[in-house]
Amino acid sequence: MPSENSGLDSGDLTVAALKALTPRVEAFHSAVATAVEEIRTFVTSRRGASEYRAEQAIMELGPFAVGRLNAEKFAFLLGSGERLSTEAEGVLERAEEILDGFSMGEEFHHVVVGPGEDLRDAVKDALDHVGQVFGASRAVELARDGRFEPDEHNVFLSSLAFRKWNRSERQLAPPLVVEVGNEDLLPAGLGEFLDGLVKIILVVKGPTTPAPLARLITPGTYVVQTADVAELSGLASSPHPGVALLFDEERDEQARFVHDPDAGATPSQRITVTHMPEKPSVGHGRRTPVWLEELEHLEALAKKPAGVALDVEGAVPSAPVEEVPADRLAALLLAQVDLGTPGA
Amino acid sequence: MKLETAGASALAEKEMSVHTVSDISVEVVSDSGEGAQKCGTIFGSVSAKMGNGVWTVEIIPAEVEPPPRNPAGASGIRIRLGDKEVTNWGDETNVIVAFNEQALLGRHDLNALADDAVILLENMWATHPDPAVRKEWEDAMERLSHRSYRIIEVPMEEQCLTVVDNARKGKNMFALGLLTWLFDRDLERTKEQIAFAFRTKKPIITENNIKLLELGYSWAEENLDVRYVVPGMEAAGPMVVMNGNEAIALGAVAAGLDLAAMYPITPATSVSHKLGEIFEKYGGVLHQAEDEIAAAGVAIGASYAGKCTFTITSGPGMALKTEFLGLAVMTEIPLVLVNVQRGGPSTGLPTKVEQSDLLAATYGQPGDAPHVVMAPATIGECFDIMTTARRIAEALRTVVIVLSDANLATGVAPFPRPELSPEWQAGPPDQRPIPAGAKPYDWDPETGLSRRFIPGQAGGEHTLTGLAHDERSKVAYDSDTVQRSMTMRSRKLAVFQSTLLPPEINGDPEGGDLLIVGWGSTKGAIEEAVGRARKEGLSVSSTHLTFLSPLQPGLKEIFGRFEKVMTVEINYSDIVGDPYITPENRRYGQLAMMLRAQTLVDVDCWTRVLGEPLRPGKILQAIRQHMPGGEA
Repeated sequence: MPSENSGLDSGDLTVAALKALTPRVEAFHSAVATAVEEIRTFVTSRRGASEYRAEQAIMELGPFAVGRLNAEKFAFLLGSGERLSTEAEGVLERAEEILDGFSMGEEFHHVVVGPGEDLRDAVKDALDHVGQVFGASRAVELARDGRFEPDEHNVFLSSLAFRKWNRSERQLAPPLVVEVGNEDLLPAGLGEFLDGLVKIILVVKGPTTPAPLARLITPGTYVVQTADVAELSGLASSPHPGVALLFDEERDEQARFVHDPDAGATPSQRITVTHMPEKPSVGHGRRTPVWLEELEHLEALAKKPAGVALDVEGAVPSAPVEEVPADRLAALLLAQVDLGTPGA
Repeated sequence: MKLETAGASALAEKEMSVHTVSDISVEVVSDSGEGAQKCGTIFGSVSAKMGNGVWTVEIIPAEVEPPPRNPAGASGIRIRLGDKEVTNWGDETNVIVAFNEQALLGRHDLNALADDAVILLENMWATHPDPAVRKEWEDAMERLSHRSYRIIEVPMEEQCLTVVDNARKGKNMFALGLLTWLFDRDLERTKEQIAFAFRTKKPIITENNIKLLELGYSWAEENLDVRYVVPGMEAAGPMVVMNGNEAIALGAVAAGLDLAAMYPITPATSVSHKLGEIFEKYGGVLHQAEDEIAAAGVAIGASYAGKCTFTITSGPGMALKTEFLGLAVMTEIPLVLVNVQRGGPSTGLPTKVEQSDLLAATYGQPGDAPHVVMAPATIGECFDIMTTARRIAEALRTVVIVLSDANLATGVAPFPRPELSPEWQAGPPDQRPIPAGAKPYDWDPETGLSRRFIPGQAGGEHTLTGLAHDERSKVAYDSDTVQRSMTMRSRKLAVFQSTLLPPEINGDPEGGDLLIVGWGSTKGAIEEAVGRARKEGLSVSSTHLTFLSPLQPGLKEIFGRFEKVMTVEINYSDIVGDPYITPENRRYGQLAMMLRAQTLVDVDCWTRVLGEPLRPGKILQAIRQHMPGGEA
């Protein structure tokens, strides 16, 4: 495929992409901030006076205990008065520093792949870097339990490779917006990161191969190629991992499609193609190039089964859109019903 | 409220009358499977959103699919609306939508309807091709005519068939349209609620349901001449609305419980349905075991491994788990058991409310197995109680049984949105290496408390046993050890009781003629009855116990301030004067038995097992009769 740079500013696209991912960014920041607060509370409680322990006890017992239990007496049962060791306190302070650094800002959600660099490595490094959050959290757990062994566990206070993230941590994964040059757009290696709630938006300028993300389509992965920033909202709100390719403009040779795991049971139901490039002919006897394989793969997946008439309007139930705001459980509770405007 | 009545007549030609009411109850009844509950739930949710106090109670036949057009098989829902908080299902229904006259008769036979109730009744049965059905209709009309009901015939089937092929799948939304107009509910909000309720279905289903809603609304607008206004109230803050089982599930998540193990049993199963939707997202594990016993075993095993877990069941399931509960008590493994009580004994009344598991929950384990029993009284408390139960289970290393019931399980009401706290999700247990010489049951002789050992914890290696054991967890049958270990397990309850506060008094804390004592879901009905009695000038107060084992402190002193003490419960008690029943052999209500034993106060009881929640009006009658010097 020809390669050339367009004159459009990819910075604007990056800003727009980050904006589309705001709910996920906020969820991550909120989780980290909550973890920081928990550490502070824990350290304070372990250093604290008996009155504080009573307050802590009533908080741990929750609202049902108010007026029913004597917090001071119950604190005695909790035995929360044991002091932290110096080593444990040091680990908690270091973890707090790490977490604090990730509790705000967008710089670690933004990755720039330099010319000639490897897209997969850039994403891996970015995720490993953010993995410090989860490493620090694990260190906190160990220190709280009294199980932190410096020789064995200091590693948690540096970067934590994505492959070591557990299921819960992958659900909290921070989203990434990756600026990558069109010639370096080789996204096949990103498949290993599309797990949990990982969301990656690739921002690219200029022409690309027609359907580079087609090979990342799996039944549980949200995949979108588009030049319309508005179409990224589906990626952000999907309860599945996902990857997007955001073009700087619509070009005939670039496919535009969405693969939404919640949109149906079969690939053809899940894929909505808004633009399919014409397939260029390849000389007789020549081996099919990779980029053409990707396009054919997309066509095959999107093709409706012969003899099955699908009702475009009604056959595919619309998926419930799940917001993932900062406090997910609070949002879930609110979703039961919002009575914020009674009598209205 | 007093409704206008027009006897069993067709709709009269007259001007519109609009009644502003502060309290009204509505029912929708049908055959099983016709969606009356869905209609009522949506109506209740919309009403809550519009600022009304709401309490719903599902009317569910005991069989899964009873024969159609059968009074005993009436399936439906009651929705009580108010201009302030509603805490119970009230007394009688003022407005009822019935899909057939037999379901209506079922409610009539149970005296569920106010004498002047307005009835919107499907009229297709009057002209049914089957003469037997027509005869049943005529007989029903004759029986209903002895009351002052106002019956308005509604061509539901005929109307619904203009939208859907199978009217049986559409009448509930048509009925929702009738109620939406009748109570001046916001039509757009109702549509939104329908869309929410059917969000997992095909869009065509929501579209048809909205058409049916609009059809019912238009029919009511053109044909009905009565309307009700229930003013809304200002909420102090954001509210949520859900039923008690959903609240337990969400509360378990908020409490940071790690694992729920269960086996399906009515009316507890929907706790796990809710957990199935959300638990894994928050790091929890929901395990459906092969049976009740296995579910308890899984929960105990995971808790032994360092997690905090719970198991969900109803009375028959709790019976099966009994041996494992004893194991958890003996091995001092924290466990929360939620028992959503239903009518018994045996299979009993799976869908109906009773509070008959109190004694089984407290004393039902073979051997002496002291543990904690507590009960939520409201749907909001169903949420909150899980955090407290978890913390108590962990702090005491014991079993905590939470006694909910079918009334809370399916009742829907709004309550203030909980302000969640990470503190509720207490951290993992202390896993620092065990100091040399420490033992897995190093009971503090003062409190009976000991440090929890987790498998794999350095220095904590020991063999777990359900046999009598000493501090090292070694099997020990010597007399001193058996007595000491039993004392330590029991001492924990006394220590825990020392942290409890006496219950509050609703009414006059100084004392009076009669004190009503309740527990669990009857709180709203009892307090409403006590309020009405006090307005009549009766010297009556109430108190509601949330901790049942150990009992809250100060009860004897509180009882001493009142001339008479009586429990009100939904379980069985004998009535003195019935054949063979004497004051000596009388069986008391279950809480009454416990209070009598614990306080040596002559506590009386008024209990009923009617397969439905207690009505405040009936409790009021009992109060009048049981006042010192009264009839009873």
